[in-house]
Amino acid sequence: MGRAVRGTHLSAPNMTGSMVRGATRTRAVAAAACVGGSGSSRRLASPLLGALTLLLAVGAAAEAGVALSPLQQEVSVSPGRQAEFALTITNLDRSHTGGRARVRLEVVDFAVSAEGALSFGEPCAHPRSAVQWMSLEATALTLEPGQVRRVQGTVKAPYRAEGDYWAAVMMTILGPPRSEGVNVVLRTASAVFVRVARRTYQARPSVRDLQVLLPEFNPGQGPDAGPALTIRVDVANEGLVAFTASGEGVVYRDGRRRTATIPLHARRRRVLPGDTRRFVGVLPSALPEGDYTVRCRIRTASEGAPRAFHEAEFHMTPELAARWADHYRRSPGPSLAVEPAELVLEAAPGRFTGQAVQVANLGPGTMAVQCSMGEGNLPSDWVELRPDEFSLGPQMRRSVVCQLRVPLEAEPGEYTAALLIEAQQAQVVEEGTSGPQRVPLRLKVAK
Amino acid sequence: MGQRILRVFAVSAFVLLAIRPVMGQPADDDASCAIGVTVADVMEWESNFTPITLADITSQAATVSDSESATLYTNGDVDVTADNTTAAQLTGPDSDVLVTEYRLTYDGDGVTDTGGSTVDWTAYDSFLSSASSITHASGDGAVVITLNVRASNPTGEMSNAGAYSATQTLTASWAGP
Repeated sequence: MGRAVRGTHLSAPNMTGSMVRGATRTRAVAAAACVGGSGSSRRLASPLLGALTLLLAVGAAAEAGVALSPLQQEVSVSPGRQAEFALTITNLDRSHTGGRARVRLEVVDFAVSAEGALSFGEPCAHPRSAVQWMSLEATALTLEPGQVRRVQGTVKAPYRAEGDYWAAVMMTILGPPRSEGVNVVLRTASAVFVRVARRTYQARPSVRDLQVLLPEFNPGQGPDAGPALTIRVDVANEGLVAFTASGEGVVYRDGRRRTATIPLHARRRRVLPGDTRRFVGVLPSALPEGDYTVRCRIRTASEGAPRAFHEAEFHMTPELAARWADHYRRSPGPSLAVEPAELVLEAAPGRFTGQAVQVANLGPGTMAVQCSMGEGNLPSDWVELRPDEFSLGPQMRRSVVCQLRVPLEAEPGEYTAALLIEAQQAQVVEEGTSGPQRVPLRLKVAK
Repeated sequence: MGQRILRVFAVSAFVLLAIRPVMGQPADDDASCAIGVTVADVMEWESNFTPITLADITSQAATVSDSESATLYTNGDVDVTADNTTAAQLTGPDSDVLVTEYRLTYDGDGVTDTGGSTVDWTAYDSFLSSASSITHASGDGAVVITLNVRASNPTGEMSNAGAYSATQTLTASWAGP
């Protein structure tokens, strides 16, 4: 609040402009009269100044921030029944303004684009909207500093409902209305995925489209964004429940010789029923001339679910192959980078501990990553890796949380293991594969 | 008969002796209790943005810009999107409009600190139409988000004189799976 609040004015270089500036000056003069002044007006100025300060303080205090948790949750409900879910909203008063926080809660629809972008609004814009089934016990809250409020929500599923439905709870932080400048409204969205379980469902992925984009040569391309073969795979969900998909494109030369593998990456791998998600694979390694077939395999995390396959053919002309080979420079170092290099943790029996590991793809191609626990005396059932399998686009990174639960009966002492991070890079077969990166893990169990 | 009574008495005495330690004051013993907690994904705006005020535009070619910052606390990756409707466009007298562009920066790059890549100046109707990703770095639970606004006259035109205002909505949402 230390800044002077000024409007966003367009002042034409004429009389109108000076009128606008004149109005600003008038406000400044009025303020000066309150603070300065003389005689009795100065005596008045002190309480007035106090009241003004209080008003400003209240104004600032009214803009306290708010925490929302969780950011996504799954609710199971039987047809014709209802189920509860909850959100926790907290005014932590971190800025110590001692202010209340006012928030508005509403149930809104959201959609995920083929590229994985979220959009909110447009109520009931899709047939699997859960907006009309969901209600909240409160939609307007005022939280005192430090106050935690648990808001209960209810999902009432119709008898005819079946499979997965979804909506989001949108929390808007309310502030005092302003009429000038650019007001910024802050919102936080929390997804609610509803499963109406009538029976056991099977994931039904299918490949709707497969495109092969041959390398392009742009003069401005840097070393990290050189020419590459790109495959785009549109994966559709033709079932009633969401699935998390992964996959790769395998390139065969002359119809039989396996030449390259291209892991597929998508910003959001969960494909909702009726949605289509675009997975992209980027191969920076140069291919020689010839006729090629790329075969895409899509699998889901659901056990026993069918896989989806699709094929496309392309031809590398001698000119294109030669030009690509000229441009291709194999990355001098490994594309997979892991931070930190070692995990050192400490916990008492019966307690949790954990740390995040950042996995980065420094290369120009797509990458599939698998995380697992390696050798050591640390029991593997104490450890959970989240996620343990994911993909990375070029120059992308992601956190993997290594969470440990030490059983109550654990013997005090030092336990060791290794976190193994294995990457499958998009590359031709001749380039070989590198072994997994090993992150030593030391856990000290105190008495 | 007397022997039977004696036998019953002896058995009762033995039972009473056997259960005496149980019936008596129990000895002190260690009590233990496993306490587990799962940290849920949390997102928190520290406070609202202060409204962004721009200087006066005093010539046809003038461009004005300003920025404000807010801190977002998070323990996971986050996507940030913006409003692309005309509400985010600076609108003034007689519904006249200014060319309105936005830019978003973070105090961290998502490598060593929580943050992401700068989203450079983009027109209001496509700003963050593809979400900006904030990558959470271990040990850093806060990211300072700076929103910049830039306003100018449309090319070859002069907008009406007066005050212009807009409302930009930033939405933080879950990232993945």
